[in-house]
This record gives sequence, C-alpha cells and structure tokens, in this order.
Amino acid sequence: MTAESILQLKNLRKYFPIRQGMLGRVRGHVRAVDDVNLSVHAGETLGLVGESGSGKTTLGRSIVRAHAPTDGQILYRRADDTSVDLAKLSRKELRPYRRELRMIFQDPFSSLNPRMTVMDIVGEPLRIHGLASGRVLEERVAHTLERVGLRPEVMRRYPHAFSGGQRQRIGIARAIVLDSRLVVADEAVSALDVSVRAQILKLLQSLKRQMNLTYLFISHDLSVVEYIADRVAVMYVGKVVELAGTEALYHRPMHPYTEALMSAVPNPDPTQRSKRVVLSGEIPDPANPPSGCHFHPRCPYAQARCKTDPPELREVAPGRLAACHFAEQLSLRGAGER
Amino acid sequence: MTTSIGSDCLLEVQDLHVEFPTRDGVVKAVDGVDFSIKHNQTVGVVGESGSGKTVTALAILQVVSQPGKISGGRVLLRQESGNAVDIASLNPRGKAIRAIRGKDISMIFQEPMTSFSMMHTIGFQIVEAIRLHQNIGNHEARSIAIDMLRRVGIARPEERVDAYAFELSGGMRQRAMIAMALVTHPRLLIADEPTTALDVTLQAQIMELIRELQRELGMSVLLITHDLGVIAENCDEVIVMYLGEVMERAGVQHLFADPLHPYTRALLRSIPRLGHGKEWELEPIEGMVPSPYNRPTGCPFHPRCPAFIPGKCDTLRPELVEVGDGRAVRCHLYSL
Repeated sequence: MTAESILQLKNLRKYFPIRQGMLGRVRGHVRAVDDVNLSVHAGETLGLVGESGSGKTTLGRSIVRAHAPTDGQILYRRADDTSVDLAKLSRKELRPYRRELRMIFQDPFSSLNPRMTVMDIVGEPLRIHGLASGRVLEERVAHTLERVGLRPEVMRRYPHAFSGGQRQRIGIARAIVLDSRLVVADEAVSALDVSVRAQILKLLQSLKRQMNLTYLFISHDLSVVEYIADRVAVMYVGKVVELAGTEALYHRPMHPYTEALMSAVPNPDPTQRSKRVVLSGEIPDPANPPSGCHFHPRCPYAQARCKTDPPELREVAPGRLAACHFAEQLSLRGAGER
Repeated sequence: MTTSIGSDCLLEVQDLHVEFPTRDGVVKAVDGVDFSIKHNQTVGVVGESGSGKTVTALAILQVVSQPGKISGGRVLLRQESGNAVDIASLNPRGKAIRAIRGKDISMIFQEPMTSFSMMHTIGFQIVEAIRLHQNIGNHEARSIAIDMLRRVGIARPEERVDAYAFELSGGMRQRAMIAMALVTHPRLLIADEPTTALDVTLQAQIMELIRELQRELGMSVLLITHDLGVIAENCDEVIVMYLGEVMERAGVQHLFADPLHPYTRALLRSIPRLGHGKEWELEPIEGMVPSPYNRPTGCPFHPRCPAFIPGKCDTLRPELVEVGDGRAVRCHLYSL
C-alpha cells in the first residue's frame, strides 16, 4: 500500500448471481464491480462518475462493507498506520471500522427512519458503539447538529418535519458524529433542489477541512464532481476506464467514454449550443457485456482490435490511467471545448 | 385583460390559478400565471419543487388531480379552425376536452411507466390513441404505430410493437412514450421533466429526438424542467417559476446573459458549470423553498432574497411588469 493512500482496492469484484426457477439455480452473474484497482489518497476527494449500471454504487457499498465482495482486497490504512483488508473481515471484526468508514445516501426521504427523532438518528451510532449515553450523548448530538448547520433544538423532532436539504444535513450529521475518516457519499446532492444543492456542497467541503476527512464522492453529475473532486475515476460496466486529476480529466479526457459523457451534459449557456458527440445505444447489460472493450459498440473511434482485445487500465500519461488501446493517439475534446 | 388570443399564439395562459383545498388550508399551487406559446416555439418552464410548474402543465390539459381545481384564469388554445377555446372553462370530464387531449395537446412524463398500462402491449395502446382521434381501421392504425416507433429510433419496430412496456429498456420506453404522444401529430407537446430519470448520454439522445420531431412535424413544445442546462440548449422562451408565480419571463439568450430577477440570478450562480473547474465560485441561495402551507407574504422569494427591501418586499406583492425586449419581471426593483 502506498504511503499516501487511506484506501486501496485490489482486483475488487462484486458479482450478483442471477437465479432462475424454483430451485434457484444460478444461471449467470451480474458483474457489477469487475476487477477494480483504485486507491484513495488521504485527505482527497475522489470523484466516481458513471451512468446507471456502471457499478459505482456497488463499489461504494462494497467499500463500507454493506456488500461482501466476491473477490479482491479492500486495504484500509488506520490512523496508526497499520493496514487491514476489510474484504476478509467478519461482521464482528468489522465493527471498529464502521466508525471510521461512513456513508451518506442519495435519498434524504427514505434513508432516515420516520419513527426516530433526530436525536435518535444522529445519536444511534454513538449508542451502538457504546461511546456515549445520557447527557454526554445529547451534547455530542447537539454539537454535531450545529456543525451541519442545524439548530440543536430540532433534535426532538421527526424527519417528516424537515425539508430535503435539512434531511440531508441530518444524514451528514449521522455520518460524522463518530470519528469518521473516510466518507462515501453516494449521489449525496442529486435529489436536492438546485438552490439547496450548493449549500450542501459547501457544507461537505467545510466539514472535510475541519475534520480532516477523505471523501469518495459518487455521482452521475459531472459538473458537481468537477466542482468538488481532486481526482476523478470514470466507471463503465463494472470497470474503471479512466482516472486522472480533475483539471486534467476535464481539460483533456483520454478515454472516448469520458469525452462522450462530458459532451452529453447540457450546457447552461444558450450561446454555446454544442455540436455534440451523441452516443448511440445504451449502457450494456452487466450480466452480458460486449466482448473486448465493453465500450466498443458505442465508441466512435472503435477499431477491429477493440472487439476482441479487452484493454487494460494502464498509465497513459504521468499520473493518468486509461483503459483504451488508442488513448495516446486520440485527441479528445474536453469540457471547455464544447 | 384581453379576451382573445394573440394572433401568432397557439396557447395563451392568462392569470391562471389552481388551488388544492386540504385539511391544513388552501394551497395555491398556481397563483396568477401568465404566458403564451407561439407556433413552433419551445417554451421552457424552470423551477424548483413546489414552484407549480407541473401543476400548470396539468391545468392546461384539465387533468389536475382531485381535490385540486382551476380556480381562476383562462387557458386559450387556438384550434385548427382558427377559433380560440378556453380550456379552463371546459368540463374536465367532458367531450370537448377529450377531443383536445392527445389530439391538439399531448403530454410526456418523467416516468414512462405512468403513461403505459401494464396490461396491454405498447402497440395496442398506440393504436388506441390513433383510433380515438382518427376514423381508421385497426390494421391501418397498426402500421401507423409501427412507422412512428421506427421514427423515434426503435429498432425492429415490427416486433417491438407487440412488446409490453416493462419489456423495454428505460431509453426505449421513453422513445415509445414519445411515439404514442406524437402519433396523432399534436400541435403542442408538453414534456414534464422528460429526461430527468435518464443518464446524460440517453438524455442527449431523447432531447435531440424531440427537437428533430418538432422540426419535422411542426409543433410547439412546453418543456418543464429543473435543469438550467436543458433549458439553455432547447428553449426559445423561458419562464422562471417560484411558489406558484412567474418571477421572470424572457428570451433564452436574454435570460442567461442578463438575468433580472434576484431569484434567477441566484439560481444561475448556484449551479456548478462544466469546464469551469474550481474557479467558478458557487454562491448558494440561503434558506430553503418555503412550504406551500406557509407562503411568505409579499414577494414569495423575499426571505431568501439578497436584495430584500424591508417594509416593501415582505408586505407588498410585486406585479409582473414588462421591461422591454419582450421580457417581464415580478420584482419591486423593477417597478419603482
């Protein structure tokens, strides 16, 4: 594990069996995460983008061990510099790590228990881990609520009394009430109103600075990721197809899929109605992906080799990885040239 | 107020009010909305949750769900004969409005599953839509349906016409819904967040399809969305709504180059811009969209407005005033 990483994924796989018939015979597998190698640096925000079916959510859930991975390693470096493979741990062994690896969900309406007060929701992790009770617990909850921009008085209320933005603040409070180090935010601002989204993005940024957090920020929204992430990984059908520093990636993508994704984002500037690369077709079924490069049926630059020969994710420029046979030859358009 | 429809207008909404009586009081979902749509024009309605943009669209078709009802105003539609009819005055269950729905005005939704029945094939439902408005046989209607499915980019339409909606992928389902909405050649298509549930690459395909069909068939589009990018790329005119009111109305170039209403300005400053990286400083709008049960007095945006004038904005409701270039703003800054 490299010195700067807080998390390193090695050949991570998560396959979901497809069962059929009364006996539930396994007829195939959905390869939601298929051989992913990725490291998250301590203190960074790593953006993870991709469309539905790309496996980005499954990857995030595997990291916090909401899913047990099928194969591969999830190496996590603790504050004392020892590292541990989370993929191998049992539920019981995982408990201390659940305090440090936290998750924020997309839907602030269904991710909070409607029968629990804010106090119970935010305080629950503290109680489960036996870290606080009574007066102390209440004070920690009050303090955490203030941190996320809510008045402590709201702790006696139930989630239905809050707007989407406030509920997301409660979800964030729950994620940071413990000594969290790595936060997986899965579409954390996608369900929010435009005017509230910016508030939550700013909140996430300031919490990261104050608490020394590392974020894995999963989103389908490329503009939001460009704003918040230091580096960005792009996923397509279970695999990382490109990884680079945010500026480099948006300035000059090196995988055709990244170019197509950027080109498809509608530009809020009517003077720049873009001549875009409209991809044909849809994201393939991860149970039955195309041969060779999974992207070849939709790729405008595909050649004969792409149909048969799966490209490796390899270093194509200093600090940049791409899984494309022609990454160096292609000159792709970035987000600024639309 | 004029009683007739503008000469080049297809639809004119005048002082529209829609109310929902509830146990906790009357919710004014749409509170005095005015706008018009010209022939072949695309008008965008942008707003956040609770802005009343969807209810406005439903009112145009007289399909506001119970107990909501149109409580005032007019929705004038120019018919093919040239005469104007006030949709708001029609019986929501009457024959007259049923002749308009699906024939003059069609609607597509965010979730195509709400348009299709699970019990019948998509072909059956498209044929039904055709035969409701055209006096032709089953066989002929079926071949029109197949043609339309081909036109919206569905491969092997002869087979897919016999598929059920749940057998199609998300993108194909969206295309089938568009086929069903457009098969009667409506003069106005209302598209309510038509691509919000779709991935960006699919969104680009579907919006391009709508533009293409609009050119081919010559129709007007009312595009409802929360996405300012989708507005900028597709619309001619834009209406910005907040809590049931039109805050600003302008041509798309004017709106983005020089937004006048503090709410429009704030919205444009609060979205990250692709390709601008970290140099683009986000400026969040303070607070949140108020609950419709708890509408602020005066201007509905005043509690969040950076240009708030105490004693005026919180007591006096501003009028929507024309400010030249075909623009209108509802703000005291412009009505002094």
